[in-house]
Amino acid sequence: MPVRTVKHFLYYLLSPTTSNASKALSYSENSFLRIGELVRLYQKNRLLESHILSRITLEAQLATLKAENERLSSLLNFAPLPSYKVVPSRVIFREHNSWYDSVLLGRGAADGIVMNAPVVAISEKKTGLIGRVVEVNRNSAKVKLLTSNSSATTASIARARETGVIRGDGNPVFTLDYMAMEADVKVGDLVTSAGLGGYYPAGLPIGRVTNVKSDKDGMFQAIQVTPTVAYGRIAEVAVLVTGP
Amino acid sequence: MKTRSSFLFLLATFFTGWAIHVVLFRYLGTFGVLPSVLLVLTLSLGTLRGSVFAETAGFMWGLSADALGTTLFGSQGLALAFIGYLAGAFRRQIDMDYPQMQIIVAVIASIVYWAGVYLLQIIFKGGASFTFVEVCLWTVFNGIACPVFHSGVRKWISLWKAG
Repeated sequence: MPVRTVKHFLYYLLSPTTSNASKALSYSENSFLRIGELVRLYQKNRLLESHILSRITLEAQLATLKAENERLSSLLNFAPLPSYKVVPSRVIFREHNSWYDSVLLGRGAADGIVMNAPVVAISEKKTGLIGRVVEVNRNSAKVKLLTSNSSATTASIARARETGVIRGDGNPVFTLDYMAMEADVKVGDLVTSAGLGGYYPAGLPIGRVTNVKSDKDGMFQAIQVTPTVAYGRIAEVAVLVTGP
Repeated sequence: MKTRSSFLFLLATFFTGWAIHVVLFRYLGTFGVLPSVLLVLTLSLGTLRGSVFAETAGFMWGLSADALGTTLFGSQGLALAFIGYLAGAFRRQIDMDYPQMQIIVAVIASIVYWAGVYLLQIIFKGGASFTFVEVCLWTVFNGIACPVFHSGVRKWISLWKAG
């Protein structure tokens, strides 16, 4: 009787402890397994993450290259004027405080670029004259943009057969000056280079008329021209060089 | 010895900052979404290393940037040197440990910088070469980029000290 009592007492006392200890052991064993599994999963996750990251990077690169390819194809398809050859180049530098003043090209005298060569850009499949080369080094060239507030050149509206002076103002809108009051200028008219200043050949598109104001007392019309190309996002350009 | 080390650090900082500026332009500049890297770096250098270092680096960066453009030569050098001086002078009053503060300081510095550049261009050129909309956008980009660049500059300085 006392033996049974002691046995039961011990059983009563130890059985939950053992069971709990066993549970605890199996839990810890599982935990080690789980930790091992977790580490493996973590490593796998890192690997997958890096794969995804590289895929995202590749996709981004692909999109950039596609866009670049499109722009370069447009440049290649650009039909040069007779007696001009095209030197394509990438814009390698542009400073914030001279955003509408100048850009730096990644090609220079070594590629045949010369001083005062006209520069054309293509954006969204539209071509437009953007300026001329004002400084040339062996492997770079500085282009003064038409939007610069110290740029001005002769421009004409073919439909109206009128010629004026297009002037930059430090922003992506031109002013077409010296257009006579009687000139038939309409919104949407294409403005092209007139070829009179000596720097630019005639017929290169510059922009489209977006606003015409007629002052009854004045001698000339106040004409606003929006560039054909997006000056804020010039990436690749074609430099027109005279010669074979 | 210390002077030589400072000079080497200045040169290394100049070339590294310039490289970052050019590389970032390659990927973001053509879309016009580029923060003013040199301005943000000058600001961070001013708050972390003091006026003299920041205004010297800013002046060098500014002159280099001016040299590649066609606007008033020295305008950006002067503006960046001024930002470096201000950042250094007020470094004890500004707690740049928090990203929120870094953003606010970058926005204020950008406004001061653009106001200075605008004034110089108006006085000496008769007109600015950027629009108000773009300046607003660039100011926002500077604010966003500042915490990243500030942390980078902090690491760069500690790396140099450890070396």
